[in-house]
Amino acid sequence: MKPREKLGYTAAGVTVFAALLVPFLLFGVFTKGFAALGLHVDDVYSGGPKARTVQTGAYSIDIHRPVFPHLLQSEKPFVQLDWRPVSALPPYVSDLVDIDGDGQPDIRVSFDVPRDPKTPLRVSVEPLNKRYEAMRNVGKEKFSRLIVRVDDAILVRVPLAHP
Amino acid sequence: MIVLFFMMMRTWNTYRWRRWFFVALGLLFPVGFIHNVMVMRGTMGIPIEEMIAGRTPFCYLPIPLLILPAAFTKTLVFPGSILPGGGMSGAGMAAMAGLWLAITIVVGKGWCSYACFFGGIEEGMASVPKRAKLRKIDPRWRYLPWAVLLAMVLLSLALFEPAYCMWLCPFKAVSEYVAARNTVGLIQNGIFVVLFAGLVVVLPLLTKKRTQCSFFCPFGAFQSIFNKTSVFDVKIDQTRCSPCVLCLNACPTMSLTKESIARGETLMSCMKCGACVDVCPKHAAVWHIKGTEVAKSPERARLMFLYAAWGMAIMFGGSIIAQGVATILHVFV
Repeated sequence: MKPREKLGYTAAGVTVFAALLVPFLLFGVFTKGFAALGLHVDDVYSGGPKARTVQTGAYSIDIHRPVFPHLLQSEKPFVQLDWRPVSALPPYVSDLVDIDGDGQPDIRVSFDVPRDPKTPLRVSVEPLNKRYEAMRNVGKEKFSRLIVRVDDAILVRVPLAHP
Repeated sequence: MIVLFFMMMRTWNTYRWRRWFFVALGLLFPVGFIHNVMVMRGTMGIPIEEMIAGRTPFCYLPIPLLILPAAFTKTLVFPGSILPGGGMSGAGMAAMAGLWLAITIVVGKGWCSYACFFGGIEEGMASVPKRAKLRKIDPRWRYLPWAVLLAMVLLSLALFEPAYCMWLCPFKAVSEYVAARNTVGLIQNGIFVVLFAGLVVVLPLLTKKRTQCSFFCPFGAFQSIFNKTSVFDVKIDQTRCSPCVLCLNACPTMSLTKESIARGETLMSCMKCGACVDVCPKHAAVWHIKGTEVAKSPERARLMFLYAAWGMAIMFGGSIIAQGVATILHVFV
């Protein structure tokens, strides 16, 4: 048998052996390897990392870092705010929120909290700082302009007027 | 699946028995998947809050689209979760990418005949008519998947979104789609339905070919690259070939041409389905291990490939078929 043939059969044997190892070893190794690459889901989807939390009575507001979409992405820059837990929210929320942490409120966010989680949400945002855009009775128009309920939180994304 | 493997061994026929499995996989995957999404969220449309929560199920088709954005910015342009727990199936992007890599190392482009849970639908459609009504197909259409791949990879990088999933995936019609919130969403869903009807239903019925796989699928083109790295392939034994071109007509993906037969090889788009091997009356089309002589022990090559490929098929497709059957029993019995 020629060396090339030996190499071919050896590679084929290794391949069959690798096939046996896929469910027990290779699958897990590759999955962990992929997870260890340090990749993250695009901030337009995830809302970006949380910057700080403001406690407001029985509930809290998580303020995320502003998200700036990439060059040709069809979304505007935005900031995400999470109200949680939903069970502690009053039937009507109208909060002044200091987004940048300078001690001055930047926006007033108002929305109803229906008991039925399937009821569509609507939000109005009144900007007190010209950096933020106004929203009036907005549902879930775009990733950068919406109010949605995700698990035990209500998320509001406010577009930035002057990033 | 063990019975099918037994029949493969007993009859020395690969394509026929593999097709039973593959068509079952293609037809039962949507059954289990759609039932799952309907129970979980009541609609096949993915609501925006599910995307934000990272609960968009991730299949393997967007893998080539994610590579460039991930390489340049370490960002995955898909609204799913990286680790298990996010997707409908409980698996994350890392699990699917790991599974894809592991299976690709073993079977290369054979993925498209033994693991793809979409290809079986059109293979089933292609097997319905006895004869093809459309026989003359311009061979230049074979380059289209490469063009689609290039366009989708560049668009995904430019727009930072999985462009193929958003605009062109025919299988959105039988799995899930972006919930149509506006006119753009309606157009997207219209494209999915038209592409599915044309490429997966009508054209396979007319041509008896896997037209979506052969002429459109960017993941298939991407997977062709790994045919070069796989140790198994299909060759034409020149000493036995007449050439009658039966294999050329039988190939469901147009991976044989008169020129390639004269060279004694298949094109890189060959999915190792075994149609040419089974149809050849002179046993000139053979399974082959790279580095070995073509006509020497083709059955050994076939056995080694099938052990590996069928192992992958059972692992990946077995649970999907079982889930589909369980769903049917649950709903109708």
